[in-house]
Amino acid sequence: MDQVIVLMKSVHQHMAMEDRLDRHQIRYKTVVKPRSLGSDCGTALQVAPADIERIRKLSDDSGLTIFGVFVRENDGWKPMVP
Amino acid sequence: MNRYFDNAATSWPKPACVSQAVIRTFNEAMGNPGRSNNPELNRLPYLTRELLARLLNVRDSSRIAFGHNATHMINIGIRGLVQQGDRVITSSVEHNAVSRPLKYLEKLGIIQVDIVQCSKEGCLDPDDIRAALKQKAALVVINHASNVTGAICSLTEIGRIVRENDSIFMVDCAQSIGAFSIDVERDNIDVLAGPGHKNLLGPTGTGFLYVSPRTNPEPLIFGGTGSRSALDSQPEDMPDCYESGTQNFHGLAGLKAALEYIHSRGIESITHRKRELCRYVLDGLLAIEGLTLYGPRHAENRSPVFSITVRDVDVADIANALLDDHGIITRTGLHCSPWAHKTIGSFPMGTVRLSPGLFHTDEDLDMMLSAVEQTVRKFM
Repeated sequence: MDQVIVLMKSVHQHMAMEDRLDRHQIRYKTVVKPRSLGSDCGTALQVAPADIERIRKLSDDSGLTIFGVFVRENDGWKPMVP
Repeated sequence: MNRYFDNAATSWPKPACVSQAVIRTFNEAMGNPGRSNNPELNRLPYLTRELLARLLNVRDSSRIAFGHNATHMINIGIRGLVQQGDRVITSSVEHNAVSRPLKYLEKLGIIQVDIVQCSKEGCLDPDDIRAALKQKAALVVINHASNVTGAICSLTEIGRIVRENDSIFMVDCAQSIGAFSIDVERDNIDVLAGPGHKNLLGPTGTGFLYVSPRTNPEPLIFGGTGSRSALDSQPEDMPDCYESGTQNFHGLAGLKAALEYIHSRGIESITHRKRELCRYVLDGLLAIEGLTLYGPRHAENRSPVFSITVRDVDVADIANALLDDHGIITRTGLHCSPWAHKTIGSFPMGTVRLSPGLFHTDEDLDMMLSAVEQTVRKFM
């Protein structure tokens, strides 16, 4: 899987998004949130870049808040512009 | 024979799946939900919240926080909601979990507490709440079912009255959640606190707090939540804001299994059985000469919690006889609800409380009723 991660607003919302991804058969992996994106001891969803738009829509439809989408480049994690 | 008749204190037995889930979590779950990166364990609180949300008709399960017990969660609700000068309405059959924090805040000069008097049977008349609300109140806090008389109030009716008067409606559902239908939307409930270990059939050390989007109590305990760790301030998001410190996730595993059991059996089916228990025991106790039974006389108005006395016999002697002669476990005294005993006229002696549970058979009930009859005769 390419290095794109989605950060949700809270741990609860992360779990709620996992539910939606499972239901829509969108592949993901829960990983530890990169330190460079904040000092929370939280988690992040690693997903395929091709699924990002579907995930954004799922989030909107479910009333969940995506805190940010980031892509790994040579010099670190960068926000992925919609 | 099941001789345990103190299910109002905590339910026993629990479904086998509950202890299995706790033991499995103890033995196999590595980590700390929300902190460790163990995906299965991290999902445990979320999945438990979802099951509870379904039971209560809560649309967004993040509005449910977990804690140690109902008392803990009631304290968050009461202490987090009131402000200087607020007027709070409550009833005369409240448990100390409600009365003590209210009276403490009143003693500090923060709030004014007005107590609505219930009937001698321990029933709360919604019209009395309506009358009390003629004067503005910030908060109305009542229990759904009494732990002394079993009396059940109409949450739907009272909730409507409280909403019409633009107050916050807080409910202590310690004796009803898992036994009777509670719908936070239908009943206009703003804050709901309950235990996981009574009618929900989960382990002790578990409790929950539902907070509607209409309100936002201040947290009671501050600290690590596994989120927003860089900030000095407590996260504002639910449920994190009320869940500082490591959660009792072994207990939550048991509660999750218990909720799955309740959903599989169906709350309507459980309520039906509770009503049957009420009718059976009510009829049996009312037929025993020389016994005083407190609380409503109709099974439809009560939960299966029965307070009894025998003339002026010390309730401890009755309980000791039930235990020594018949092996029956009860609870005596004031049941942490002195207001309720004052209301029904059993203060300061209190009563012997018999509270059958979901898994009692009719044979168990017959055994208990026969034991009570023999014990009453012994003291006549």
